[in-house]
Amino acid sequence: MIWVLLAAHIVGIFAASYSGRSSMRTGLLVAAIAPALTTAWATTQLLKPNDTVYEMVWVQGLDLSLRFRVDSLAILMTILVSGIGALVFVYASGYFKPSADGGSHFPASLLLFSFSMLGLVLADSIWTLFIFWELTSVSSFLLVGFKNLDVDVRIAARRALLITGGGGLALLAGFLILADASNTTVLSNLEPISGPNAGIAAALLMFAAATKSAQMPFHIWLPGAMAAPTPVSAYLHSATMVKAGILLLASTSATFEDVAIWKPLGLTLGISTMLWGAFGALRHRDAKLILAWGTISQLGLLVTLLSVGTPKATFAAMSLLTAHAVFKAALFITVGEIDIRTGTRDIYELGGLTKSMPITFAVAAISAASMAGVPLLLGFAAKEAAIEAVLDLKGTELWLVGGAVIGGAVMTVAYSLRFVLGVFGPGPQTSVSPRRSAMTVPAVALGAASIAGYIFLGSVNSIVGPAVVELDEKANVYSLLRWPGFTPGLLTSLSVVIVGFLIGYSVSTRTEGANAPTAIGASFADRSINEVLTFARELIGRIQHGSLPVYLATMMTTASLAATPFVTAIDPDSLRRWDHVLQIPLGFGVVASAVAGAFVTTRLSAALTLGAVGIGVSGLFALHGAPDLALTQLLVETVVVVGFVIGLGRLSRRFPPVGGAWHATRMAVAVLGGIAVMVALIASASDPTGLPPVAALSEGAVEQGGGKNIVNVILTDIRALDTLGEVVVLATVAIGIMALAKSPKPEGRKAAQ
Amino acid sequence: MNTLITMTIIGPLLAAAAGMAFRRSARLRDISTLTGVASAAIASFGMLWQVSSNGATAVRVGAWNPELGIVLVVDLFAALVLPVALSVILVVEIFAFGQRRTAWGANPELTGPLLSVLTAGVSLAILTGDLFTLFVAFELILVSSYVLLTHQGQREQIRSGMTYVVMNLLASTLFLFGLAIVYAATGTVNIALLAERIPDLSEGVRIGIGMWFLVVFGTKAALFPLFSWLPDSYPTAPTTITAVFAGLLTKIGIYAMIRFHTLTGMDDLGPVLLIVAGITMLVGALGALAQNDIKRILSFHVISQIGYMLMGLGLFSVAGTTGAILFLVHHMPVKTVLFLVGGLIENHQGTSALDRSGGLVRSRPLIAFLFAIPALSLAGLPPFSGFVAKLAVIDAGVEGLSTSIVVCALVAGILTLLSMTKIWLGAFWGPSPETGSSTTSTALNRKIMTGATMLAVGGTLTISLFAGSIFDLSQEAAIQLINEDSYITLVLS
Repeated sequence: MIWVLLAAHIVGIFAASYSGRSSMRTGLLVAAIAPALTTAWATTQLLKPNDTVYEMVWVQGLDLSLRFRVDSLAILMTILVSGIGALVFVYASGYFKPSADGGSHFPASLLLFSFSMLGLVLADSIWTLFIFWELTSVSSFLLVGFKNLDVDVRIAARRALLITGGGGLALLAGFLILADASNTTVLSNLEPISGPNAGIAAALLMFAAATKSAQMPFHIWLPGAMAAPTPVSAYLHSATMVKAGILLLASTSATFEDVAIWKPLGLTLGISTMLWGAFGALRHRDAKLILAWGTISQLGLLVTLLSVGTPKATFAAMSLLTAHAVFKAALFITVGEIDIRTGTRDIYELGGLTKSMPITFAVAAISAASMAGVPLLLGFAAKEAAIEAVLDLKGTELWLVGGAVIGGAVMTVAYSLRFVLGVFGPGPQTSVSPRRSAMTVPAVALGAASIAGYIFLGSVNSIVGPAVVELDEKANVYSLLRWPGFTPGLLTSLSVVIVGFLIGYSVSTRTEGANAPTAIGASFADRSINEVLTFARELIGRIQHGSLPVYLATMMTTASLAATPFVTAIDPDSLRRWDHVLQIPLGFGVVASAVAGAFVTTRLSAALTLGAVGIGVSGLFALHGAPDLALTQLLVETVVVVGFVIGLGRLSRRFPPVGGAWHATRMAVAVLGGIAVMVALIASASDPTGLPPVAALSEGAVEQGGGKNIVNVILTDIRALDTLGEVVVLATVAIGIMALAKSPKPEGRKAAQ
Repeated sequence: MNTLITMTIIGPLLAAAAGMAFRRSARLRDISTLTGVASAAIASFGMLWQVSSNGATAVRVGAWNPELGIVLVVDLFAALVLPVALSVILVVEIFAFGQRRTAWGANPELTGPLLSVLTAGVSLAILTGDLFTLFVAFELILVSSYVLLTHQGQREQIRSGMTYVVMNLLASTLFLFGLAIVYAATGTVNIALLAERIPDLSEGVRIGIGMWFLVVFGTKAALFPLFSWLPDSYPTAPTTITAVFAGLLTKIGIYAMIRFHTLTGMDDLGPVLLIVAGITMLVGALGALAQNDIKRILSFHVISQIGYMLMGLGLFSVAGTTGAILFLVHHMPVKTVLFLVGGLIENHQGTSALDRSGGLVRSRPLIAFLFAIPALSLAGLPPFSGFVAKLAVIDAGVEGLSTSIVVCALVAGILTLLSMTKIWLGAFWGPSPETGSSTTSTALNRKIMTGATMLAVGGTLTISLFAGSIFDLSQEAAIQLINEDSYITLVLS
């Protein structure tokens, strides 16, 4: 079934892309089909407990497979991902005008994300998780940059991709170490690991989770990602994708329970993110950014709870995750509607919407109350569980974690109230365009879910409970309570609500004239990216300067250095001074001509000295008993010199002058190259492990080749293929010369373009 | 097998000759050169099928014994790389049909025949079991590519062609010295015999030979610091030509290195190779970031990606070599496709400069789609072949405890991602350029070009889909290379 659903998503992506070409609305509604089907399927799975594994091997040798597991946790997450997804598609069909630009790719990209997220929550192997994890980053990039005519949007999309992409690489490395240490790639089979590598893996995974789930200091991409259309923000950047890191921590925390740094690292990240995020939500005046910073804060709370690691805290974390997905999606959806219908999201410009947008107000108020943990809503029960869990801690941990969580909760109440008052409270009467039911229906559904979740808390327990047990078996004793009675936990959370309310009320009344805070972190990230670009430009300007002589010098020096190992292998005893006494004058002549070639200043004398080198070499050939080789060489040299002399007529007589130091460098490189080749040849000939098959060659040439001139037989028979190749080389050169000679003048060519 | 080998080496040469002979008739010329390359490609798939079912074969050219004559060896490594390489040329040649009638196209009279010569050279380089024949194959590739690069006679092309040809000729000269060194030390240039005799040499000579050929093949493969010829010359050629160059040429260098250095047991060079690999990856990726033109960015990525293959080789383990081979097979089509998409962009808006591009997501969503897949694959993101290849190499690195190279590979990965976003932001997002398209192509031309690109994207997706089987084949090929005995027996007995 999983395969069918995943395939339905892929088909849907293409169908949505095709049908979206004519109308954005059709594309979105087509795209909604696959998530809706998936939600329906997942709902039917709720009734029967199952634990099925689906596997399709991709690359056996790397343990790379698509492995999915349908258990209670996967079902819960599927319902959140696909259920909210389906609603968001419907919502987006109201959010965009039917004729909106980009219908061919926006619905498809959003469904691609839906597909990726579904795969991620169902994954049961680290590589499956990784594949879909990266896909969510990519689809998020495409969606954040949807309104890419704006340069800020493009920059924000890039920032988000690079931060989450960096996390992805850390995840890759961490998973490799983890797979190595635990000998499995199956998530549900991971055993606790320890040792120094375990610490590195833990840190890498924590880093990956922090980038994805917007933990300090990597949270900076999330506010920027709010440049995306609101359906995207509601779906990816509050309800689902940012929970991927949380899921990663949840499913690997048992593996790292023995690793010393795991818990402190998680608590540090979580607590600082929770507090800084809440602070951010209190500062901003863009309603969407208030929610985004609220999301950061809530993600921090989830990381904190998971890092505490007690079964009760894990239970609370998963309950909060569920509640948060519901109320945060609803809140974003209302903000999007307000944005579309009023044209602004600035809480200082908005006001008086309670009358003009009563349904939106109701949904927003209920969801914000759920976020604040006000009783009689789903968020209350979850927040209550969290407070109970931290009050259970002992000693320093109680003070530290408990204090932070309670402080965070107070601030959450405050920014929730500030949000509601800012948007709907007294203020300028914002004019409002007509309601679109495609936007209202999903909002009402999600708003109602926060109430229904509380009324039918037993059903919620029967879904969330078994899901948490998948993570921690000892969590089966916990459940969400409708009314805990007057425990310290309840008293704490009631006082949190009251204190938070007071603070929220006071900050939302005295805020006139404040400007939006600047995004320090984001501009730091962009500056770093630009610095990398500048560094690259400077470095490459130095390396790839375009001067051929310098390239050649570099190459020759490299080759000479590469020859140094030969030095150790020179055997002086194997050196023969000469075979024939005439080699002395000839050798001397060759060297002298070569050196002279380096000093002459006119082109003609250079050609002549090079010719002298060649003639000397042909003399050496002759002394070795190869008269035909010598003859060939002599002919070639003569033709080349003649060719040079003819060609030189078109060039200036002298070489362009070369500076002193550079000339010396070139000399040095040339001498070095000569020495290197000499050393290499002497060394390699000093103790050969095989000798040229001279006898076999002579015999073979005569007997098999039927020719007495061995060189001829080699060229035309034994190595005929090489000869054929060289003939083609010459023919090709001829073609090239012809083409260049016939090609039009460069200027004419340019004009033709 | 003999017929198949003939079809891959002699066939394209005959086609080239026919193509030159039929210069007056465009149709005959095109048919003959296309047939030559297509039949070579088909033959190469036949080889893969034969080798994977019946095992490797060695063919003695002219029936001369390996000590004297030339041996062509179709082992799994060759049979795996050859079909990919030849398919790449074939796709580009089809693309060229669409492109040649536009201002950006190469001269059709010459591209067909020259690409055929190049095909023969590539086949010969991949199949040969003889170091001297490898030299000849390199010459074939070098001259045909040089003429392809410069035949339009534009000033910029001639200038950069100079860098290209002079540096590569120096490399050829060094190759010749290398042949002399090897022949002096072992009395043979047959690779199987070298695999027997080089390990017995004194350490200095053995390492020296390994280092020397690292420089020779490294220049062809564009390793740091020998890559300077590449980024200057590639972007100036017509897109079709660059697409072939980028997909194949440096890969032949790394192919030769994988074959030579594994078979001759150069394990001691591992650390050197890994250092060079790390620098090559990083410098290549940084080089790409410094550019503002799609073709220049992609050219630097050719360098960077070679680093990953060298990393796989430098680990000198079965896992590492498997990764290197897999990376090679993945990289050839992906890189070519990216350049072909670059060609589509150039054709559409008249430039490949990023600051004069934009808005293709809206104006040409299909191009965006065709770019996105190979770009993600290049950056090593799942679920594409680049991910599998990168995972294989990095996994081998982790296994070999080479932490610093793994870190380099990961950093280069994020830099690659950054430069892909640079192209995406510059060419696909943002406002469309005011000048509009300067395309002179007809609808049919566009269709042929887009069709060829889609075909190539389909090819990369096929590689992604069958990454499992390709991995298995690469692993088997790697085992044959690391345990050189099977190769030696194959050739000598």
